[in-house]
Amino acid sequence: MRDEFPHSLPGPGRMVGGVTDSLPGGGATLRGVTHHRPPGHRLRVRPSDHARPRLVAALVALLACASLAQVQAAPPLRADLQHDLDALAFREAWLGGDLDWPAVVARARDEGAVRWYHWGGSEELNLWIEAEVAPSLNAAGVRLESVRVPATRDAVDVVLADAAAGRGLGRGSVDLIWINGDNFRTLAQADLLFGPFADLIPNARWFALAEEDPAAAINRYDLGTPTLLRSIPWFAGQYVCYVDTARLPLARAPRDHAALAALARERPGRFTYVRPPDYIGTAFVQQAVVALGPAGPRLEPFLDDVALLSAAEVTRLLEPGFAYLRELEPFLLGGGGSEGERGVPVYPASAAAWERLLASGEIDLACEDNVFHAHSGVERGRLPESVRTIVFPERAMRVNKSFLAIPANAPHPAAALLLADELSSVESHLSKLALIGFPIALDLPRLSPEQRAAALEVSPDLRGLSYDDLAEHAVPDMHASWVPLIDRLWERWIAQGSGEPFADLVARLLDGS
Amino acid sequence: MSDRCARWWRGVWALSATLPFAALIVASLAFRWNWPDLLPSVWWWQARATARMPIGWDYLVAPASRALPALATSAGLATAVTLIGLAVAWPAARVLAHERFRGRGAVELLLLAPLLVPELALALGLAVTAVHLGVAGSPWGVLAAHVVPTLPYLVRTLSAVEQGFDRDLADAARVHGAGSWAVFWHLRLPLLAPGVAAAALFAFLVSTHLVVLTVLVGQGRVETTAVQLFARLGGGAALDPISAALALLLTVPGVLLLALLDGLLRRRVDLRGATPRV
Repeated sequence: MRDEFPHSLPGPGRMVGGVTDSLPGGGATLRGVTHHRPPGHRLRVRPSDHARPRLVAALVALLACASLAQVQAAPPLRADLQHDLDALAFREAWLGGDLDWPAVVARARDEGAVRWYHWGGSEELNLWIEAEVAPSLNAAGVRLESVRVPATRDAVDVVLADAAAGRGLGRGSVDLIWINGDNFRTLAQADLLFGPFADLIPNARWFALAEEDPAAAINRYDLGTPTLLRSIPWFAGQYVCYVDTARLPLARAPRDHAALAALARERPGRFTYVRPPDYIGTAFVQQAVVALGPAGPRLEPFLDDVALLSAAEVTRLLEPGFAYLRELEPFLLGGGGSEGERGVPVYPASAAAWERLLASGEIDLACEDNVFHAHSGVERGRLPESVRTIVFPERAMRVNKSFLAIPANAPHPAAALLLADELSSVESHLSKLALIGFPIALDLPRLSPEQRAAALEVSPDLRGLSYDDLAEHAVPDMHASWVPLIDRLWERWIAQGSGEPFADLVARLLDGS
Repeated sequence: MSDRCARWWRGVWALSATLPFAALIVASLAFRWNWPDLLPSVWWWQARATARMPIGWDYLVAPASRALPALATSAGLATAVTLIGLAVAWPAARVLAHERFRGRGAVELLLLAPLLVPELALALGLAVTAVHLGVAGSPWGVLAAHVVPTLPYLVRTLSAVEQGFDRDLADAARVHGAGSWAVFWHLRLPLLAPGVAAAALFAFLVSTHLVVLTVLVGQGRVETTAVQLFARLGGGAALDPISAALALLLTVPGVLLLALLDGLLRRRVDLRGATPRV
């Protein structure tokens, strides 16, 4: 009686036995529970206390090896092989030009579905996709699954995780991603893109894509990374700033960086910008660097890979812009308000936070990467009616495009091509422009006069600027290799207020990268 | 004097509990609400007639927003995670609380390990494993993944609860011929219920608030309310009406569970008033 009680209750007794059995130290005897390991088992050692961490590590390693071995040992089935060969054959035939478009459409119908990963934080975009894109794909016999991820990086992580688990051609989970910049470069470096499809789909005719065409650069480079036609433009960004005219009269809005600095000194604490490495913040710093360049506002030196330049040259190019930002610091929001007095400047973490500061009247000027941002902000209640867009900085309003890319392991490649083509049609771009204020990414000179007139007709209000202003002051983006350097320099030189000479800092960061 | 003091404190407590919710409710009903206005200058119902696309709550109830299915996914996942977590963690906690054995420290460390690893690292590892096992992108994979970070909380809380259980009571019951089921139902459960309920609530709330793990293991295809809220708030701080409404929705399952457990515990206590029948 005493023996059965209480430590050998069936419940906990089994559990304890179970736990020890699975441990290498299974030879340990428990009160009232006999272990079931056969004598002579090679793991049967008496663990001393200090050996315990090693045993746990060994167990973890064993488990990892076992699970790996299991995965590696599974022989590919005949059906799997057939699937892989089929996926490979389709890709080679399509990219090689041996397959016509109706064959792709037919295959897309067989595939039956397509998974489009995109940033899910815009309710306008979500509504538009459900209302406009899904029905037209349905008509082609393809069900659209729009996957709304918190950030594009998440979609890239899914592709990488699939690839890391050995999911190759046709076996992943992502068919199409709305992507640009770093995220695209990550997929390109990992060689995880489907291939050069952009000039092969029927609606490619609305884009300048030929290498010799000077207008094609913006469609062939994604923040300096050559797309090699593995992605097709979908969104056209232009950096546009806006002011609340109820607080700052339009006549006093700055047109260049000198005017901005003068305004900040006159009204201290009423300006700030987003902290890099947020995309919008980096763009602000990039514009300052280009506009204040040593030879005036010239973009040319920044079009090359930064790795090809000497540290002295990079310092010469960047120093004026960074010196400007440092001098600006005391006059930013929370910055102390006068020369030499170092407060704690408030740098918002995102464009949304920047917009919020302007809407609350704390600052006078904010910017976004969409010329219709002010319009949709007013329409959705985020911004006051008195907001107007302005020319800033003169001849340095950065334009770039973001793209649609197909990962190499897309499970429905034909349907992905169909969706990319559908999203590249003039009708789709016009409806996107009219309904949710996403700028047309098609090349306007390629549109017919009627189509251009229609675009102008449905285009939302620019709230201040004209299309001529936008065209006159637009400049392309700098080479993407500058971005990490600028972000790190900003962190050290501005955020941490490093006392190190600028040239030394540049040299050290260049060495590190 | 002390009566007035108590009433005053109760008032402060009630205000601090309800004010954040009041702010969220107002924000979710606002259309334009900028500093220094104390209340929105334009309300949702004033603007919805002229809006070209659904705004505020209209968006959340529209099928295109997927807000309600996501809420159901959140609640369903959290319920299942809590039940599975209890089934795994309670026996483990019971052993850890009452038994001394070799390797106990290692077992405890293993059970707490998910708390020591950053969520992102855990999520990346689990995502690759889930792809291997073929459950990535499915609710089942997310369910299994959610159990991992909830276990440490459950084990920690439950072993404290178990430590408060006097096993002499169980011995006494057994002497009187009670089977293990009777000991559990009439003794263990009534005595431990409040603590177990607290642990369950913990696990439930942890599950409803997991974002990175849900996105990576679910490959974005398992959409919960927390994921939708995170997609909007990202790195920004703008509390727009839809984010405010999503934040309110996110609290609904937890509050419901709290109310449910509270009701159940009250009934239990009433039952316990009678002498336990063995």
